[in-house]
Amino acid sequence: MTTHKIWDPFVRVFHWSLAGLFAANALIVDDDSWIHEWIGYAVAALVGLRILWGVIGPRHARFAAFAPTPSDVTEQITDIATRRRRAHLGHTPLGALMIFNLLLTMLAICASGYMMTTDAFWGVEWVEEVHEALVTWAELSVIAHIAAVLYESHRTGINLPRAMVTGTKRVPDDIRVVE
Amino acid sequence: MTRIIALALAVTLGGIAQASDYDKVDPARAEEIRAMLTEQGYDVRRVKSEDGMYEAYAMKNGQRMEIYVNDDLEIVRTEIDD
Repeated sequence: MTTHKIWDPFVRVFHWSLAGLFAANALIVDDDSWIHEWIGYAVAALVGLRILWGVIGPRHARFAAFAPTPSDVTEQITDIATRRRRAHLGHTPLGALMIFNLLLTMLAICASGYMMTTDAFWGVEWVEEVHEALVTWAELSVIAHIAAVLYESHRTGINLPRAMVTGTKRVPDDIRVVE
Repeated sequence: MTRIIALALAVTLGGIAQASDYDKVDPARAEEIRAMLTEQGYDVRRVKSEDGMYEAYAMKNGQRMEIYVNDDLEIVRTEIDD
């Protein structure tokens, strides 16, 4: 077992606060309330900070470090399909695609939600429908994300949810580490 | 795991299908409400059903308003979005 410090405090706080705020707004808070709007602004601010952090943050937080090439993606799919066990220290290529998907979807949800509060788009049905469709897309993505994290934790023997809490990945000795 | 994902998918897709009709209003009724509010100076954007009433989204005097109308076409409540 080797341990690797991977996720800095900002990445972890960002992850769990985004998860909590999105769940609150999508599932609990009345969408006509001012709280719903302010949670939306908080999500936009968080994602904005994450994008900045993706440029200036530490290595494993930087987009340039984890943006996958198509061959990175096919390599990981091949790993899964052929039961070849290899571990990524940072985000995996498929995990990285999910991050980009979720960040962009969150921004689009915030933008369409904000539009619903402007004079120009007040009561305009298609804006609300876009907002709701994007939320549904995000919910499906979150389900896929959680399923993939559990599956990958099982496949690689690295407890990924734990790493997102503590910041440290504990990698079993019998698995080859790739960057 | 596959079952959990399948169940989650079914629930979500069911939710989408339902979400698209739950607030629909009979078009003739919507037209009456629209005409009534337009006469009172509202620029009506949309009429939908909410909490057992009709809810119209409209602009008046530069303000974003939600107008709740009952079955007798009486305005029950107006809210200003600020």
